[in-house]
Amino acid sequence: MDNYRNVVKRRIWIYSALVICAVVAVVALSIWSSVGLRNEEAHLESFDHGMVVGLFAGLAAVMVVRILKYRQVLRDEGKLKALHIQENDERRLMINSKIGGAGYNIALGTILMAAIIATFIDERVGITLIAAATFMALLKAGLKIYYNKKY
Amino acid sequence: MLMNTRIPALRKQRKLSQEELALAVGVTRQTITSLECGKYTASLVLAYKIAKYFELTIEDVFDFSDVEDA
Repeated sequence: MDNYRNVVKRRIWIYSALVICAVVAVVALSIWSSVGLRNEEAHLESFDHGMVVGLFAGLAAVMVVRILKYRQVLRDEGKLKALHIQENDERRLMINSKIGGAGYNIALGTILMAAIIATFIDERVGITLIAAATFMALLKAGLKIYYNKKY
Repeated sequence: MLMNTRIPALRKQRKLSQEELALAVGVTRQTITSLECGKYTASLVLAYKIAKYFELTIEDVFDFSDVEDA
Protein backbone atom coordinates (compact mmCIF):
# COMPACT_ATOMS: atom_id res chain seq x y z
CA MET A 1 0.00 0.00 0.00
CA ASP A 2 3.00 2.33 0.55
CA ASN A 3 3.84 2.04 -3.13
CA TYR A 4 0.31 3.04 -4.06
CA ARG A 5 0.45 5.94 -1.58
CA ASN A 6 3.54 7.20 -3.45
CA VAL A 7 1.70 6.81 -6.77
CA VAL A 8 -1.18 8.95 -5.45
CA LYS A 9 1.29 11.55 -4.11
CA ARG A 10 3.01 11.65 -7.51
CA ARG A 11 -0.37 12.14 -9.22
CA ILE A 12 -1.09 15.11 -6.92
CA TRP A 13 2.22 16.70 -7.97
CA ILE A 14 1.56 16.11 -11.66
CA TYR A 15 -2.01 17.45 -11.48
CA SER A 16 -0.82 20.47 -9.46
CA ALA A 17 1.76 21.24 -12.15
CA LEU A 18 -0.92 20.91 -14.84
CA VAL A 19 -3.26 23.24 -12.93
CA ILE A 20 -0.47 25.82 -12.66
CA CYS A 21 0.20 25.48 -16.41
CA ALA A 22 -3.52 25.91 -17.19
CA VAL A 23 -3.81 28.99 -14.95
CA VAL A 24 -0.66 30.52 -16.51
CA ALA A 25 -2.11 29.82 -19.98
CA VAL A 26 -5.45 31.45 -19.08
CA VAL A 27 -3.71 34.53 -17.61
CA ALA A 28 -1.32 34.77 -20.58
CA LEU A 29 -4.19 34.49 -23.07
CA SER A 30 -6.19 37.13 -21.22
CA ILE A 31 -3.24 39.54 -21.21
CA TRP A 32 -2.51 38.77 -24.86
CA SER A 33 -6.12 39.35 -25.80
CA SER A 34 -6.52 42.57 -23.78
CA VAL A 35 -3.27 44.09 -25.08
CA GLY A 36 -4.60 43.45 -28.59
CA LEU A 37 -1.59 41.83 -30.19
CA ARG A 38 -3.81 39.87 -32.55
CA ASN A 39 -5.13 41.37 -35.72
CA GLU A 40 -8.21 39.25 -36.44
CA GLU A 41 -11.73 40.59 -36.30
CA ALA A 42 -12.96 41.29 -32.79
CA HIS A 43 -15.67 38.61 -33.02
CA LEU A 44 -13.23 35.86 -33.95
CA GLU A 45 -10.74 36.94 -31.35
CA SER A 46 -13.38 36.91 -28.66
CA PHE A 47 -14.65 33.51 -29.75
CA ASP A 48 -11.17 31.96 -29.95
CA HIS A 49 -10.21 33.42 -26.63
CA GLY A 50 -13.38 32.22 -24.93
CA MET A 51 -13.08 28.69 -26.32
CA VAL A 52 -9.43 28.20 -25.40
CA VAL A 53 -9.85 29.77 -21.96
CA GLY A 54 -12.91 27.57 -21.43
CA LEU A 55 -10.95 24.44 -22.37
CA PHE A 56 -8.06 25.31 -20.05
CA ALA A 57 -10.43 26.29 -17.23
CA GLY A 58 -12.35 23.02 -17.68
CA LEU A 59 -9.16 20.95 -17.60
CA ALA A 60 -7.95 22.86 -14.52
CA ALA A 61 -11.30 22.27 -12.78
CA VAL A 62 -11.08 18.52 -13.45
CA MET A 63 -7.52 18.46 -12.07
CA VAL A 64 -8.50 20.43 -8.95
CA VAL A 65 -11.37 18.01 -8.22
CA ARG A 66 -8.95 15.07 -8.60
CA ILE A 67 -6.33 16.72 -6.37
CA LEU A 68 -8.94 17.26 -3.64
CA LYS A 69 -10.11 13.65 -3.96
CA TYR A 70 -6.54 12.29 -3.73
CA ARG A 71 -5.69 14.52 -0.75
CA GLN A 72 -8.74 13.18 1.05
CA VAL A 73 -7.77 9.60 0.17
CA LEU A 74 -4.23 10.08 1.52
CA ARG A 75 -5.63 11.00 4.96
CA ASP A 76 -7.73 7.81 5.26
CA GLU A 77 -6.14 4.35 4.95
CA GLY A 78 -9.55 2.74 4.27
CA LYS A 79 -10.29 5.11 1.40
CA LEU A 80 -6.79 4.55 0.01
CA LYS A 81 -7.34 0.79 -0.02
CA ALA A 82 -10.80 1.23 -1.57
CA LEU A 83 -9.34 3.43 -4.33
CA HIS A 84 -6.54 0.90 -4.92
CA ILE A 85 -9.08 -1.91 -5.24
CA GLN A 86 -11.30 0.18 -7.52
CA GLU A 87 -8.41 1.10 -9.83
CA ASN A 88 -6.98 -2.42 -9.96
CA ASP A 89 -10.25 -4.37 -10.11
CA GLU A 90 -9.76 -6.98 -12.86
CA ARG A 91 -13.30 -6.63 -14.27
CA ARG A 92 -12.89 -2.85 -14.51
CA LEU A 93 -9.47 -3.26 -16.17
CA MET A 94 -10.97 -5.70 -18.67
CA ILE A 95 -13.80 -3.28 -19.51
CA ASN A 96 -11.29 -0.43 -19.90
CA SER A 97 -9.13 -2.52 -22.22
CA LYS A 98 -12.21 -3.41 -24.30
CA ILE A 99 -13.05 0.30 -24.63
CA GLY A 100 -9.54 1.11 -25.82
CA GLY A 101 -7.62 1.59 -22.61
CA ALA A 102 -4.86 4.15 -22.34
CA GLY A 103 -4.58 4.54 -26.11
CA TYR A 104 -8.09 5.95 -26.32
CA ASN A 105 -7.41 8.46 -23.51
CA ILE A 106 -4.13 9.55 -25.12
CA ALA A 107 -5.92 10.04 -28.47
CA LEU A 108 -8.64 12.07 -26.72
CA GLY A 109 -6.08 14.26 -24.92
CA THR A 110 -4.08 14.77 -28.11
CA ILE A 111 -7.19 15.83 -30.05
CA LEU A 112 -8.06 18.34 -27.30
CA MET A 113 -4.52 19.77 -27.38
CA ALA A 114 -4.68 19.90 -31.19
CA ALA A 115 -8.04 21.69 -30.90
CA ILE A 116 -6.50 24.37 -28.67
CA ILE A 117 -3.61 24.92 -31.08
CA ALA A 118 -5.81 24.74 -34.19
CA THR A 119 -8.20 27.37 -32.79
CA PHE A 120 -5.45 29.99 -33.19
CA ILE A 121 -4.98 29.08 -36.85
CA ASP A 122 -8.56 28.39 -37.94
CA GLU A 123 -11.50 28.32 -35.54
CA ARG A 124 -13.45 25.91 -37.78
CA VAL A 125 -10.68 23.32 -37.43
CA GLY A 126 -10.72 23.87 -33.66
CA ILE A 127 -14.50 23.42 -33.47
CA THR A 128 -14.30 20.28 -35.63
CA LEU A 129 -11.63 18.79 -33.37
CA ILE A 130 -13.65 19.64 -30.26
CA ALA A 131 -16.69 18.00 -31.85
CA ALA A 132 -14.57 14.91 -32.59
CA ALA A 133 -13.29 14.84 -29.00
CA THR A 134 -16.83 15.23 -27.65
CA PHE A 135 -18.01 12.35 -29.84
CA MET A 136 -15.11 10.18 -28.63
CA ALA A 137 -15.87 11.02 -24.99
CA LEU A 138 -19.58 10.22 -25.46
CA LEU A 139 -18.72 6.98 -27.27
CA LYS A 140 -16.43 5.98 -24.40
CA ALA A 141 -19.16 6.72 -21.85
CA GLY A 142 -21.69 4.73 -23.89
CA LEU A 143 -19.36 1.74 -24.25
CA LYS A 144 -18.58 1.87 -20.53
CA ILE A 145 -22.28 1.67 -19.67
CA TYR A 146 -22.79 -1.15 -22.21
CA TYR A 147 -19.88 -3.28 -20.96
CA ASN A 148 -20.75 -2.62 -17.31
CA LYS A 149 -24.18 -4.10 -18.00
CA LYS A 150 -22.78 -6.95 -20.10
CA TYR A 151 -20.16 -8.11 -17.58
CA MET B 1 -16.87 -19.00 -21.58
CA LEU B 2 -19.01 -18.17 -18.55
CA MET B 3 -19.39 -20.54 -15.63
CA ASN B 4 -21.48 -21.10 -12.56
CA THR B 5 -19.98 -20.69 -9.12
CA ARG B 6 -20.77 -21.76 -5.58
CA ILE B 7 -19.83 -18.32 -4.25
CA PRO B 8 -23.39 -17.31 -3.18
CA ALA B 9 -23.83 -20.59 -1.24
CA LEU B 10 -20.39 -20.33 0.36
CA ARG B 11 -21.04 -16.74 1.35
CA LYS B 12 -24.39 -17.65 2.84
CA GLN B 13 -22.76 -20.49 4.79
CA ARG B 14 -20.23 -18.11 6.29
CA LYS B 15 -22.69 -15.19 6.65
CA LEU B 16 -20.49 -13.04 4.48
CA SER B 17 -21.60 -10.04 2.44
CA GLN B 18 -20.45 -9.42 -1.15
CA GLU B 19 -18.68 -6.29 0.07
CA GLU B 20 -16.70 -8.25 2.71
CA LEU B 21 -15.66 -10.93 0.22
CA ALA B 22 -14.75 -8.29 -2.36
CA LEU B 23 -12.55 -6.46 0.14
CA ALA B 24 -10.88 -9.71 1.22
CA VAL B 25 -9.93 -10.74 -2.33
CA GLY B 26 -9.15 -7.22 -3.61
CA VAL B 27 -11.92 -6.59 -6.13
CA THR B 28 -15.04 -4.43 -6.21
CA ARG B 29 -18.46 -5.60 -5.06
CA GLN B 30 -19.68 -5.35 -8.68
CA THR B 31 -17.11 -7.96 -9.72
CA ILE B 32 -18.41 -10.40 -7.09
CA THR B 33 -21.98 -9.69 -8.25
CA SER B 34 -21.00 -10.39 -11.88
CA LEU B 35 -19.22 -13.61 -10.88
CA GLU B 36 -22.26 -14.79 -8.95
CA CYS B 37 -24.60 -13.97 -11.85
CA GLY B 38 -22.33 -15.85 -14.26
CA LYS B 39 -21.82 -12.70 -16.36
CA TYR B 40 -18.08 -12.58 -15.74
CA THR B 41 -15.43 -15.30 -15.53
CA ALA B 42 -12.74 -14.76 -12.91
CA SER B 43 -9.09 -14.75 -13.85
CA LEU B 44 -6.94 -17.60 -12.54
CA VAL B 45 -5.49 -15.30 -9.86
CA LEU B 46 -8.91 -14.17 -8.63
CA ALA B 47 -10.26 -17.74 -8.70
CA TYR B 48 -7.25 -18.82 -6.61
CA LYS B 49 -7.75 -15.95 -4.13
CA ILE B 50 -11.47 -16.76 -3.70
CA ALA B 51 -10.82 -20.48 -3.32
CA LYS B 52 -8.04 -19.80 -0.82
CA TYR B 53 -10.28 -17.44 1.14
CA PHE B 54 -12.91 -20.19 1.50
CA GLU B 55 -10.13 -22.77 2.19
CA LEU B 56 -11.28 -24.84 -0.79
CA THR B 57 -9.86 -25.78 -4.17
CA ILE B 58 -10.75 -23.81 -7.31
CA GLU B 59 -12.82 -26.74 -8.58
CA ASP B 60 -14.87 -26.67 -5.37
CA VAL B 61 -15.81 -23.04 -5.91
CA PHE B 62 -16.16 -22.89 -9.70
CA ASP B 63 -18.16 -25.31 -11.86
CA PHE B 64 -16.01 -26.54 -14.73
CA SER B 65 -18.53 -29.05 -16.13
CA ASP B 66 -19.17 -26.92 -19.25
CA VAL B 67 -15.41 -26.69 -19.89
CA GLU B 68 -15.05 -30.45 -19.62
CA ASP B 69 -18.00 -31.02 -21.99
CA ALA B 70 -16.59 -28.67 -24.62
